[in-house]
Amino acid sequence: MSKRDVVQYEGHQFLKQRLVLSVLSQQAVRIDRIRPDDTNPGLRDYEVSLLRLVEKVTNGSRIVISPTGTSVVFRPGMVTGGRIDMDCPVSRAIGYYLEVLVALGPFGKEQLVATLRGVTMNNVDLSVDTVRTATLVNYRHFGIEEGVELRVTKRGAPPRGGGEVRFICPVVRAVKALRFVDAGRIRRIRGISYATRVSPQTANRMVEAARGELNRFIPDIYIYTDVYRGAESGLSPGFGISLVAESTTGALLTAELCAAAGDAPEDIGRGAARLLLAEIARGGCFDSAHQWLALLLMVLGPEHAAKTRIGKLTPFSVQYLRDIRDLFNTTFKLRPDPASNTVLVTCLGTGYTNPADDPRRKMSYNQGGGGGYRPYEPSGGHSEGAGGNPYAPYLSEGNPRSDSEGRGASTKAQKLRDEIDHVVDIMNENIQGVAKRGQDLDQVQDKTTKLRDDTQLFRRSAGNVRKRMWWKNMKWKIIIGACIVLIILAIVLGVVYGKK
Amino acid sequence: MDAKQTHKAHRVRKAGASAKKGKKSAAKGNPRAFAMQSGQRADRMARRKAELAEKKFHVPMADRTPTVPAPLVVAVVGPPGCGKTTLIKSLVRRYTKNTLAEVRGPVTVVSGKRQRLTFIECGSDISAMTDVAKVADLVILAIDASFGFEMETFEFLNLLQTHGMPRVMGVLTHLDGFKDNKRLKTAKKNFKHRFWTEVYDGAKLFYLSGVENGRYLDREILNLSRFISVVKLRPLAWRSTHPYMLADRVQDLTDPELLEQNPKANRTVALYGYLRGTHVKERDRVHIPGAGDYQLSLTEKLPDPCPIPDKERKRLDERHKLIYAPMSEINGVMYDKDAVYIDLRKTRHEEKAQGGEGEKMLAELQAVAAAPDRLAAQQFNLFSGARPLAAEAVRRPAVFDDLADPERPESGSDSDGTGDGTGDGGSDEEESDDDDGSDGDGSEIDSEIDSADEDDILRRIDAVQVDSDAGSDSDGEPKQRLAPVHTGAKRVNLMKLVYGPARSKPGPGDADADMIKPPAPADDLELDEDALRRYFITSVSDDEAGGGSGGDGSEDDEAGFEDLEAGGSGSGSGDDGDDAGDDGSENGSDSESDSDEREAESLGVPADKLKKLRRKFDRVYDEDDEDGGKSSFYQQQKGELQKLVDDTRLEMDELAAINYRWAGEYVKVVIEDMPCEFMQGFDPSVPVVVGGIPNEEGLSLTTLRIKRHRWFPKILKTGDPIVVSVGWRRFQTIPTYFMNDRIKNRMLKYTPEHMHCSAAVFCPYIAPGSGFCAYFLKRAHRFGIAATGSVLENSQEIDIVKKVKLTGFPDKIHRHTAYIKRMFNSSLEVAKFEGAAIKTVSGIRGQVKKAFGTSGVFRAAFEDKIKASDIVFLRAFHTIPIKRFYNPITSLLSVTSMRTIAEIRRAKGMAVPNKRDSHYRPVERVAKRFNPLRVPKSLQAELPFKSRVKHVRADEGAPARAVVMDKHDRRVADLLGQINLLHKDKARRQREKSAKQKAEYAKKRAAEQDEADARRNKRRKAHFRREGRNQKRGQE
Repeated sequence: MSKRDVVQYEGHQFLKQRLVLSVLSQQAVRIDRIRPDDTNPGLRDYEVSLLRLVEKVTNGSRIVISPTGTSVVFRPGMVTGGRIDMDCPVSRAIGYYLEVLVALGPFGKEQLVATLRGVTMNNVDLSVDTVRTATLVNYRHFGIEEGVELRVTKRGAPPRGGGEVRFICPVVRAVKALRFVDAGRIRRIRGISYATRVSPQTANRMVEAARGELNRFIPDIYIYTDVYRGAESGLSPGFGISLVAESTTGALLTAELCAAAGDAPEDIGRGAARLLLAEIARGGCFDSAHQWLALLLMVLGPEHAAKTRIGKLTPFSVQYLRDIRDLFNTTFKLRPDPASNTVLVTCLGTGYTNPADDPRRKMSYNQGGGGGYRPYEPSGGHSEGAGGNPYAPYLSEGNPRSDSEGRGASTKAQKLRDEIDHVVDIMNENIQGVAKRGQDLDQVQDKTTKLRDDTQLFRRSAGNVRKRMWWKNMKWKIIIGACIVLIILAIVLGVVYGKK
Repeated sequence: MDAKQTHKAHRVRKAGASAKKGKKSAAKGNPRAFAMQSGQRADRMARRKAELAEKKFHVPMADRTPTVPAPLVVAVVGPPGCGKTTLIKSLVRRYTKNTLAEVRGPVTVVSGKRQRLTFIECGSDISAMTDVAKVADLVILAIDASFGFEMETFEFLNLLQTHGMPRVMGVLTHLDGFKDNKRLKTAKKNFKHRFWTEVYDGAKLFYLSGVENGRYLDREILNLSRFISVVKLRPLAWRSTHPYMLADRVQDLTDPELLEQNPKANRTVALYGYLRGTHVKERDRVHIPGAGDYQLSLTEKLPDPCPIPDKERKRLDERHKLIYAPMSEINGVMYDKDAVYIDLRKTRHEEKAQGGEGEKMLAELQAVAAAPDRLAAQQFNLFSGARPLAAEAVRRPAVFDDLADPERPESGSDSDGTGDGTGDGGSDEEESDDDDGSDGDGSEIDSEIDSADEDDILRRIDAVQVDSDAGSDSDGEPKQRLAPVHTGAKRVNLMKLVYGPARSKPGPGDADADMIKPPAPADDLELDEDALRRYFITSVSDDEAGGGSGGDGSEDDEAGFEDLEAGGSGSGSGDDGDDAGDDGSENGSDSESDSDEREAESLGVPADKLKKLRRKFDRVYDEDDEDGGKSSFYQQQKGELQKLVDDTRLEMDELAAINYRWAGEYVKVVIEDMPCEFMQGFDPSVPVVVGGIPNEEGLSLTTLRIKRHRWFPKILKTGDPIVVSVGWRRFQTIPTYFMNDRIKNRMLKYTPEHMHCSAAVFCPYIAPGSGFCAYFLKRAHRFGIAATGSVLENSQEIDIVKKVKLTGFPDKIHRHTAYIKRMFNSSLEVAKFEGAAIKTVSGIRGQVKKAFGTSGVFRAAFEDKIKASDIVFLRAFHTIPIKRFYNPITSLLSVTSMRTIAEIRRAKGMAVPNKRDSHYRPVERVAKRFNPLRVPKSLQAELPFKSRVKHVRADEGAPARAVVMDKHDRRVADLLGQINLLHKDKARRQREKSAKQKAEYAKKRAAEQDEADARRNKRRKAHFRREGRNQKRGQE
C-alpha cells in the first residue's frame, strides 16, 4: 500500500489556487520558500487571512506554519460552508478571498453564507461587481443556478476599505459537464460605474468616457451608476468601473479599472473600455479573469469530455493547469485554433461528487429564491442612478442556455408557484377574517359588560334617589306629625293643668 | 386398443404477433362490448396506467459502454463441490473446442460475432466473493441439488444486492443423484421457487442433469450458452463512474538483482486485463481490494489478445474462436515486451506422456530464460579494493521511460507524415520567431508579467498563436497541404509549453502572480478596430469565412452533429473542414435526398438504409419534443446525457494522445512498491481487481445507514470491529451506532433488532448513496453477512452523544430552595453546570443556582418543596469520541486484523470480568409505614359534609363482650364445636391422602420422562451422526 505523497511547491505565488485544489482533491500540500530572501520574509497578512478563511470554510483542515513563516504544510479537511464572518486585511481586495469561496462554496455540506469586510475593489483583484455580474453568472454553465447571491452592502475603496459584502452559495451534488465551444458575438455591454465618497458626477463622467469608446462598436450599452453615501460608503474615497460584454451564446467578457489617487474619471472610463476591447479581441467563451473557474469546474465535472474555448492562456492559467495536473492528475488537451486565435481546451472530468452530500435531503436543494441568479438586482438597500431602475435584470431574458434547458420546467414551476401564492393569499385573508371576527366579538362583549355595569350603577343610583326622595317626603310628614302631636300634647296638658 | 390416443393439445399463443391479432379481432367484432362502460372505472384505469408508467422512470444514467466493449465477466459462484469447474470447462469447450485441464484465473473466450466472455470461478471465501460481486456482469450460481441451497449462495446474493445487482442465473447440478423421477420433479420445483423468492420471479434456473466425459451434457450447455449470449445488461452506477480491471495475468517485473539482494524487497508488478467502466491514466490512484491503494506508474495499451473478428461475418469462424487464459496455461505463443510465452497446446497429462526432444529443449530454454539476466547482474572485482566491474554498465534499458514519455506516440505519427522535418524543427524556429511576433500582439502582456520565466512562457504561447496566424495567411499552398501535420506539431508545442518538463520557478520579488485579471495601463493598448468589429453582432456577416471565433465554433458543432446523424460513422475530427464545407453547400436548395445519396456513397451504406436511420434519428431527437409532457422531459434529459457520451467519444482520439486508456481496451498497468507477499503468495484462483478511486482517498468519518441482516443471529455492538465492503474497498473499522432523535445523535450500544440505524465509521470517502455490506472477519455464525445499508455522507466530525445522569441528595431544604450534595466534587464543577435543569424522582423540576462552599454542594431552586428522601437528577449528554480505526483487509498479502474483545478473551482464555456492581441483587423493598392521617379540627369543621370524617358507630370494632351462656346454649355450642372438629379432621385426612397420591403420580411421571429422554437422546445421537456423515460427504 503506497501512501499519497505530500505535493511540494515553492514560492508564495499561486497560494490561493493550491489551497483550493488541495481541498477539492484531498491532497496535502507543502509550500516552501515563501519569500525567504525578502526583508520581510514569510507569509503576508492577507495570505494568513486566506489560510484562516480556508480553515473556516472547511472542517478538519490542519495548517502548520513554520516559525519563520516561510513554509506551510496544509492538510485539507472537508468543505462545510455555513456562516462565515471575516474582516479581510486591506492589502488585498475582497475579490481575492471571494475567489476561494466561489471555488469551494458549492461543494460544502450546507449553504455558505459569508460576510466579508474590507476593500471591495482595487486594481489587483477582481472587484465585487465583476464577481457579481460575471463570475457568479458563469456558474450557470455548470448547473449552479439558483440561490447564488452576492450583495454589496457597503463599498470600501482602498486604502482603508470599510466595505462589506454578503455571499450566499448553494450546495450542489455535482456540477454539469461543460460543452461550450461557440463563443458567439458580442451583443451587448453592461457595466457598473461606482463612486464612493466623491462627487456623484464622477460616475457619470466615467460612463460618458466608456461609452465614447464603445459606442463605435455596438449601440446596446448600459452602464449603471452606483454612488454610495453615508454609512455605506466605506472609509476612503474612490471610484471605478466594471464592464461586462455578453455574447450571443452567453459568454461573458469582463474588464474593470479602479482609480488611483489623482486619476481623472474620464481616463478610468476610457481605460476600462479599452481593456474590454482587448479582452474581446482575445475571444473565447471565458475571459482571462475567469479561465481558472472554467478549468476548475471542468475538472470537477462528470466523466465526460468537457470542452470550451478560451482566449490566450494567461500565465495564471498556465500555472493553474500545472497545479491541476499535480493535484488531480488531469491533463488538459490544448489545441490552438489558428482561425480565431483562441485555444480549445478539452479534459475529462474526474466525476467529483460532493462528499458531504446526504441523499436524504436531495429535494431541498435549489429551492431558495425564485428564478435564476440575477446579477443586476438591487444589491444594497440603496438605489440611485441615471435613469429608471439602475439594476434592471438583463441576463435573464434571451439567454440561449437557460432557454434551451429550463424553459418548460420553469414555466411549470412558475405556474405552480403562482397557484401556491394564490392559495396562501386566500388563507391569509381567511385568517385575517377570523381575527377580525374575534375582535368584533370581543368588542361586543366589552360593550355588554359595560352596559351591564352601567345598568347596575343606574339601578343603584336610582335606588339611592328613591330612598333620598322617600326620606325627604317622610321628613316632612314626621315634622308635621310631631308638630300635631306637640300641639295635642300642649292642649291636653293645658286642659289637665288648667283644671287643676 | 380401447385406450384413446391422446394428441398434444393446441397451445394458444400468449405473446407475439398472432396473439395480438386475436385480441384485436375480438374488439373489432363487437365494439360495443368494449366501449367505455363506466367513467369512474376508466378514470381509475387511466390513473393506474399513469402510475405504472411513472414507475418505469429512472434517473437517466449515462451508458458509457464502448463500441467494442470489454468481455462480459461471467462469474461462476458456488460452494465447493457443486460443479463450478466442470461448468466452466463445459462452457469453454462449447465455445472453443478446447478442453481446459484446470481453471485458474479468468478465462476469456470469443463467444460470438460481437461478444466475448471472461469466465471466473469463485469459491466460498468471503473476500473473493466480495471482489467478484463487484466486477461480475453476469453471475451463474451453481447449486448442488443433492445437498440443497447453501449459505454461501445467499451470502453472495446479498453481496450482489449491495454492490449493484448484475444479472443472475442459477444452475442446478448433481441432479443425477435423484433416482426417483417424481422426487426429482418436486425438488426442481422447490429449488426454482426458493430461487425466485431470492432473485426475482421468473429468474432463470437451469438444470444440468448429469456428467459425461467430465462435462455436462452438450445439449444443456448449449441451452445455457444461448441464454448467456442474449443477456442484456443495464449500467450500474458505481461501475459506470469508476474504472476497473479484472487482472487476467500478473507479472513480476522486479529487477532480479534486487531480489537476489533482498528477497523481501517491494515488487514492481504488471497487471494485465481489459479495462472496464471509465478511463485511466498514468499516475492515477487505484485500489486493489485485498492489497491496498497504489499509484499506476504506467498504463499501456496492448493488442487485444482475444479480439472480436474485425470484419462483419455471418457466423463465427473456427479460427476466430479464441481462448485466452494466461493463468490456466493454455495455448499459443505470446509475445510481449517483458517475455515470450511458448505453450505447447497440450494438456499436462499429454505433456508428461510424450515430451519430444524439441519440446524438452524448449522447456529447458524457458527455464534458463532468466539466466542471462542473472549473468548480466553479476559483477566481479579485478583487484581487491577496486570498483567492481559490472557486466552491463546500464542495467535496464529505459523501456518504461521511453513509453512513459507522452510525446512518443505523437512523434511517431509525425514521422509517418510527409512533412515531419518542418513540423518537428518548427519548435526551434518558432521560438526564434517569437521576438518579432511579440512586438505586435504580445506587447500588452509583456508589461503585465512579473517574473521573467512566465514572461517567456507567455511570449511563447503567444508566438504559437501569432505564428499560426501568419502561417495560414502568408504561406498559402504548401502549408495548407500539410495543414494537419502542422497543427499537430503546434498542438504538441502548446502542450509542451504548459506541461513540458521546463517548469518555471517563481521569480523572487513580492509582485503577485495570484492576479487573475490582466491589470494594464490601458492607454498604450493598440487595438485593431477593424479586426475588433467582427467580434460584435453589429458587424456584417460576410466575413464569416474569414473566421470570427463564433462562426467557426458553430461550424464545428454542425460538423460534429452531421457525423452523428450519419449513423456515427466516426469520420473523426480530421476532416471537419470538409464536412463543414459540405454543410455550407447543402444549406441551400439542394434536396435532402441528393445529399443523402452523396453521404451514403461516401459511407458505403445503402441509401435507403441511411434514410431509415435518419428518420429514426429524427424520431428520437426531434419529434419527442413536440408531444410535450413528462416523457419528453425525460427523453430530453436522456438525450442530453447521450449527447455528452457521444461527444466524449469524438474526443477520445485526441485525449488518448495524452495517455488516457479507455474502457474496452486491453491494458497493462504497472504498480511499483507492491509488497513481496503479493507475488509470493499469489494464487491465480483468487481474483485480482484493480479499481480506480478518483477523489476517494481522503479519510473521513462516514455516516452509514445500517440494518442488521435479518438472518444474522446477533445484534451488533458499538465498538466491535467489523469488515465493511463498500466501493472497491474492504476494510475493518470500528463502528459507533447511533440514532438521530431530531435534536441530537444518540449513541446506541447495540443496533436495533429490526430497524435501520446510523453508524459512524472512519474510512476513505465514498460517494453518498453507495451500498455496503458488513461482515465479521471470522465467521462465527452460519450466516456471515452481519449488516447491509448505504452511505449517507462523509464529514470530518459527527457529534454523537450518550446520556449521563448525575445524582445528588438534598443536604438542607428550605421552602423552594434546597442545598444538594454529592452531585459534584468541587465548586468548579458546579460553576460549569450553573443554570442546568435538575429534577427529583418525584418529578419536581428545578435549576442549579450557585455553588455553596467548595465541597461541591450547591444551591438549587425547585418549583416546590422537595423531600429529604428525594434523589435529585441532572440529565446531561456527553459527546463520545469516535474511534478512528481504518484497516484495509489485505487478503492478498497477509491479514492482520483487530479482534473483538470476546475473541481476545477466548483466545487468551480469559474470563469475563466479574464486577460486584454488575451483579443482580434481590431487591429489598421495605414496606413503608405511613403515619395515620390527622385532619385538624378547625380544617375539618370547614370541610363540606361529603369530605368530612364521619362519626364512627360506637360498637363498630369494639371487642366482643363476654357472654354468659345458659345450659342449652352451652350444649349447642359444644355440639357445634364437635362437628367442627370432626369436619376438620376429615379434611386433614383427605389432604394427606391426596398429597400421597400426587407424590406417587409424580414419581411415576418422572420415571416415564427419564425413559422418554433416554429414547430421544438416542434418536438424536443417531440423527447427528448421520448428518455429520452427510456433511463430510458433501464437503468431499
